Formats: sequence, structure tokens, C-alpha cells
Amino acid sequence: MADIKLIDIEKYFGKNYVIRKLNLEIKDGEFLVLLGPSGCGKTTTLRSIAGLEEIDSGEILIDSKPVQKLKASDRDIAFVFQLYALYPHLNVFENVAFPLKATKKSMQTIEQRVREVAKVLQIESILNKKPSELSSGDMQRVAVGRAMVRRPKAILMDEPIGSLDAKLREDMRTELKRLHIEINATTLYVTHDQVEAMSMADKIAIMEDGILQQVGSPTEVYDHPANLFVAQFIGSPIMNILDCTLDADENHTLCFLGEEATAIRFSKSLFQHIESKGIANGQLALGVRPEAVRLTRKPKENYIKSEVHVIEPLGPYDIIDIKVSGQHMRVKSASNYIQNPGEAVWIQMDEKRTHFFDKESGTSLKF
Amino acid sequence: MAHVKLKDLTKRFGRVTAIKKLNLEIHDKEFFVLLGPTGAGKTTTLRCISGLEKLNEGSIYIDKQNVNDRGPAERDVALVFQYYSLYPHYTVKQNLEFPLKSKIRNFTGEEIDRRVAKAAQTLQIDHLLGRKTDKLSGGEMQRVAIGRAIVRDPKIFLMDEPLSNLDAKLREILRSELKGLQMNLGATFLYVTHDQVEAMTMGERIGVLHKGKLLQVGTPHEVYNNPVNRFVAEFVGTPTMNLFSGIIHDGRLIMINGKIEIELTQKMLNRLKGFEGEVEIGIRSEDIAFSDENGVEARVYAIENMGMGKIITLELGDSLLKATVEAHVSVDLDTIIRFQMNQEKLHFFNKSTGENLRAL
Repeated sequence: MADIKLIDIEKYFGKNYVIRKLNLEIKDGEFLVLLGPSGCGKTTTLRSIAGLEEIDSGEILIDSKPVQKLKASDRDIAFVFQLYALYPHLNVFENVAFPLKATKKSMQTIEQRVREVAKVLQIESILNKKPSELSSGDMQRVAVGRAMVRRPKAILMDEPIGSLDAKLREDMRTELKRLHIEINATTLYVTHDQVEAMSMADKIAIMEDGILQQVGSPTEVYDHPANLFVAQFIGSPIMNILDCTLDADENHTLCFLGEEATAIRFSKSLFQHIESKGIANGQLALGVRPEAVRLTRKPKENYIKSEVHVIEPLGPYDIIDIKVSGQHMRVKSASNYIQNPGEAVWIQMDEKRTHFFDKESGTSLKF
Repeated sequence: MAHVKLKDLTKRFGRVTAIKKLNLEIHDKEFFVLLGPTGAGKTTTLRCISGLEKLNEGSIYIDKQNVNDRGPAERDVALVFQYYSLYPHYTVKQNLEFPLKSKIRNFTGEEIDRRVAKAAQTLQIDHLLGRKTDKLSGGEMQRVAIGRAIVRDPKIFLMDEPLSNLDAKLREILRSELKGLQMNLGATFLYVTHDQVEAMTMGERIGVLHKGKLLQVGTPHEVYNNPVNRFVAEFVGTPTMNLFSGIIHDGRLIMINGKIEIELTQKMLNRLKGFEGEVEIGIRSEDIAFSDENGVEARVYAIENMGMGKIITLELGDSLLKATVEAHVSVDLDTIIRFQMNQEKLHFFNKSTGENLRAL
């Protein structure tokens, strides 16, 4: 396997940029997920690496060698498409073996390689079946098997499990992740689904409008989003974003939500830090994930009062939609702890997990 | 008042029975969700209630009136689809007025204006009234589609997967908005979806439909904690409930080829009413906890970081099972850990019928 490096890649269709000055490295053996909403440029990036699209400027290095002039077939990269592009008249064994047929390998080698891949993908029992007899999950496995059998330098995948039903997708996620650990193939995986990205990636690269927003491990992008876009794109339930104003007294930072007269108290240094960034109060947004808010049914010092709007049970826990001084906020709560819409509750936020953003640029002010 | 009752509702398409003897009551002002996979018969049920489909057998009552022979317009129900059912060349205002201009209704212009203004205000789309609907965002379009139902002030809102084409973030926001709206309007909602998260978070009660049969009706809490059978157990909840085979013998539960053996409490045995033999065991990922010395050994097969928590897949013999843990718990791949199951939370299903043995 190999590493892939993208240096200042640009691509435009007519006058519109699809990719802008993209710099990204996928290390040898790494599973990198390119994540973003539709139209963000992630698929174009993938296709450029594969050689299916030409880039307008920049360099693509595979194992330190520039490949942007090479044909797709000479880049030694395997592409797994979104669609189950299997040959309907060939059985599973023949489908997996197909890419090797052209390489003049011995039948014995081919057989051995196919069996190896089939074992890893758990498709040994269906090797004699035709694609039309397979479930969509099995078809996907065969598609991955066909990519792996060539032992390529890297595997590229474009939403390969997007069209499966929820349970199957869950299993495929786990299996694909496990598969990656076992085969350690350099993998670039494109998706719009943050759950897939979080659960499978070694590293996530988040794109929006052709621009790379942040690259980091799942924990990094979840705990320390670089900007408002990443903060709200990663995580479910989504991060709460609220208008706030900051002030300070002797010992604390006072954080006011909207018109609320009671402040949430944070450490003094927070105010100094935000002030040093030169962000005026009206420009400030507070971000906090539902699980970083403490919620209680009794008044408590330094907690602010709010009202239950909607209760959303999820099974293991509930999400409570509350109203705090005219703003909505969603909070994680133990299952069945809150039972009545309209009831008063008190909240407090964990400072370490509270984010502040410049509303205009979207940039996180924390770091 | 808007109360819906379906009695022995049966609908066939040619030789295929889409709905089989469906009995269901939806209470006044209730948010009821009909949940099921594709082809379960959810949409057909909805269309039968709206009058767009004729039933083969059974009756539909709205407010205790049999409406079998009434046409769609006479039933006073509003159907909301995905947002693309809007008229693209009309403004938001025209789209909202449209259902009111029908000759059957005979509303005055003043009344129409009043209703449109009120609906727009409720949905916070007042500022969009002059805009063409093809110039709206997905969320705005969905609000307009709902607005078109609200203006009619129908007895029942029938919603057919209205959020399924929206992106994840918007879907999440609109979910609580819709539930808030239903409470504010004090309206009766029948909401159809294949998405168990939507069902759990919005429904006061959920009806799980599979192959034209209603399997269970209950609150989200009931359906999640006491699924009547294996299908419901697997369909509701994420990650999907862990399932594996076991044997109950002599007050003991033996599962995963003898790798786990549990002495069942008297309480549990009472619930099982003396059942002995092969069973299918279910346990949810959050009911498996890591333990120190006691507990069963397993290998860490995969770790998935979900942000709020982690899903740890454990390998035990040939079986894989998923456990959810808090984000701060750290485990290493391929290491051996010990875990315990919360016995109170075990589910027992009949091996052949899939029926939950301890359900009421």
C-alpha cells in the first residue's frame, strides 16, 4: 500500500470552483474519510485521485510520485463505486477473480487470492452464487472483494454503503472498519454521513464549498471543531448554537443567553481570552453539545431556569428540547427523567465542553 | 374531536394482501406513528384512511362515523407528502391558498387571508409568502407543505415520510419542530415512517407494522423496552439489539455455545413461566457493561467512536456483540476484556415464532 498526497489541488467547472487549494495527506495504511454535504467537492476529489477527472492545478502524489499525468488504469488504485457494479452473468468467485484475469496470473494464484479475500469478507459460502441471488449487503462485500483482490496501492470508495438499510449499514460499518484493521489498506472513503465518518475513520477531512474545513481524528473533530460548520455537521444530536453575551465580575465570566437575567458562571480566564480575540458581544455564538449540558428538575445554584418544550425518547436516553430565554436548546437526559412538556428545569454547562464562535467568520475562538 | 378507528382493515392488490385485518385506534390530539420497513403497508393504510384507496374489507371510522363510502374530500383529512408536492411556479402564498379555493369549501377571501396568515405565522414563514416555492430551501419547502395542510384545519393530519428527503441536520431540527407544532395545534397526527428514530422521538404511541400486520402498539418506552417479538426488537433501537441462541435449563441460561452461563433470578424465572429449552436471547448494547474481575472474557473486535459515546464490538467465539460505552472509556483493539450483561434487561424470544417469552 501507499501514501497519497494532494498539494494545492484546484478544479473548476467553467468559472465555478469545485475544489480550492486542497492540501491533504493520506498516510500509508490510513482510513481517511472525506466528509461533507452534497456538492462540497468530495466526490470530485476522489475522482481526481482515481484519474477519472483531470485537475486544473496542483499535484497528486502516490508514494511520492506525481500521478496527475497518468491514466486511471496506470495509477494502481481500486475504486469501489456506490452502485453494485457486478457482472450479472458471472458468479461471485468469477466476479472477485475478474480483475486478476487480465494480469496473467496462474489459476492457482487467482484461486488462492480469491479465497483469501472471500474469507476476510465472509463471502466463502456464496462464491457460487450469481449477483441476482445476493442480498445488497453481500453484493457490497463482493464489490469490496473485487477491489482488494488486486492488492492495489489504495482503495477509494464513494458512499459504498449509502443505499443499504439501517441494520445492514450498521453491520457493514463495523465489518469495513474491522476489515481495514486486518488488511491495512490505504483507504479514502467519501460520504455525507457523519456517523459513518466518525465510526470508521482514522482521520476525517471535512469539506464544504470545495474548501477543506478541518482534518483530524474523530475525537478531535467532535471535541474541538474548528468552526461552526464542522461543529454542526459532526455529531448527532447536533450541537446547540445559541446567541450569548459575555461579561465579567470579580471572579467569573458571566455568560448571558439572550435576554436571560441570570448568568451562567464560567472561569474568569474565559472572558479575558475571548476579549483578547477582539470579538464584540453581538458577534458571539455559544456552542454546546446536548451531552455537555447538565439538567435538573430542582433549582440549583448557578443553574439557569428553562422550560421543557418537547421530549424525544431515543431508547437508551432522552433528548429534551428546552426553551431558554427565547432560544431552543436540546439536552441529553436519562430515559424517562423528564416527563412533562411545560415543566421547569434548570441547566448548567460544562465549561470544558462549551465552545465559542465568531458568528461572522464561524471560527472557533477557543484555541 | 378527531378520533380514528380502523376495524379489520384489509386491502389487497390483486393476489397480494397489503394489509391484513388491521385494528387500530388513534386518539384525539395524539401523535401516532406507524413504523415499518418498505412494503410493510404503512402508506397503503394512510391512503385508505385518506380515501385515496378503497378497502376490500373492514371499516374506517372518523369520529365514530363510518367513512368507508366517503370520498377523500368529504373525510376532512389532510395528507402531507415530501416537499416536492408543492406547485413550483406559485408563490408560497398561492400554495397556501390553493387548498382553500376549492368550490366545496366556499370560503370568503377574507377567511382565506386570515387562515393563510395564521398558518404562516405558526410555521414562521411569514417573510416567505411572496417567494416562489422553487426558490426555497428544503426546510422552508417542507414547512410550506405542512402549511398547506394547516390552513384547512383538518380533523386529522396524515403525514407520509415528510422528512425523508432532507439532510440529517435539518431532519433533526424539523423533528422537534413538528412535534412542537402538533402540540400547539392540539391536532391529531398519523405519521408514517421507516425511520425508527423519527418514530421514537416524535410518537406518543408507535404502531409497528410488518408485512401488512400490526405487531405492536405502545409508547416509545414500551416498544423499546418490551418488544413483543424479535422483529420489533431488531427494528427499534440503534445499534440493533444483539441476538444469539441459548438454552434455558434447570434455572440456568446457557448461551453462545456455553461461553456464558447465568443463573436466572426467581423474578426472571417467574416471567418465563417455566419455559425450558432453546431460546433466542436479545440484549441491547447499553445493557452490556465492562467489568473488572467477574464477567465473561471477550476480544475487542472493533471500536467505533460516535462522539457522544463509543460502540465496542466484542468477539466471543463465533459471535459478535455490540456494547455502548461513554466517550471517556478507553479500550484497545484486539485486547481481552471482561463484560457483564444486565440480567434484568435480557430478552427471550421463541426460537421459531420469534415471540417475546416474557412480554405480557
